[in-house]
Amino acid sequence: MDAQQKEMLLRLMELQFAATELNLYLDTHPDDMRALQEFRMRSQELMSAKMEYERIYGPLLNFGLGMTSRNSWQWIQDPWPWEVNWRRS
Amino acid sequence: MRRQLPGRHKSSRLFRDSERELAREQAKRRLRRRAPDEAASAGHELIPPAEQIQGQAASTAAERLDKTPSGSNCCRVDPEDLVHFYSGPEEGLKDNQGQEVPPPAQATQDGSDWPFEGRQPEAAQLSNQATPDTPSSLFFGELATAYVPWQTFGQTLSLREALRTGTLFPELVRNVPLYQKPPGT
Repeated sequence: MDAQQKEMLLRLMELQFAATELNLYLDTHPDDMRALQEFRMRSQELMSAKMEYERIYGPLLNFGLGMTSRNSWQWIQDPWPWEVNWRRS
Repeated sequence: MRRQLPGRHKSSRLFRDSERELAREQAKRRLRRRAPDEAASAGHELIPPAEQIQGQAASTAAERLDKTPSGSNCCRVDPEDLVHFYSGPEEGLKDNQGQEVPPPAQATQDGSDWPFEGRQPEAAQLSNQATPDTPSSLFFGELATAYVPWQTFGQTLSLREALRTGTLFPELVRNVPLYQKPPGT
């Protein structure tokens, strides 16, 4: 896994975590416009980051979300999450 | 509320066994709960009255039940029994000295200092009458109160920092070693 792919995956995790946090905040503060705005922004960022990742490296989920853009079965080509060494950059 | 037994209309062995087990449980409880004349009038002739099994463990009676033929009616569960067992105590509440606890007096709208619309909630009424002599712990007042300040949306951490710290909000950062590995690992 090259550095760029790892960086993009990390970015995806960060965006997902931020979206989850804002989701939980909005559960108790549904009328907070600033939080809602930030949630929308992070959601859009997350969606475009996912699409960008999948365009380059293939689907993130085995079905239901990502589209297989190439002719081969790309799902099996990525390293599994536990095979990525997050400590060594 | 009428409870449907698991697989009551199914004929598979698994379901019948679980039903029989449930029936044994019910019979055990019935033996402990019911007064003898009540049990007799209910027509459970295979279950000995409570006075006959006094001094014996309730499991003895359950063992006798186990030996009865499986086709007999004793192992069928009457849905009415389930209603009986799941509907909670029928008698009034009693304190630890066996005295019946009187139902809480209904506070009238007049004279109550309830500041909101509508009737005062029952718990608030009860805590108003709290004295150390009343038996229920509810009457002693509050044991503990949790207080959580209302969060307001302010600064947020950078995304990387949020993922590392475990929260997006700086006011929720806890730098206690709770979430850290112990030193030396």
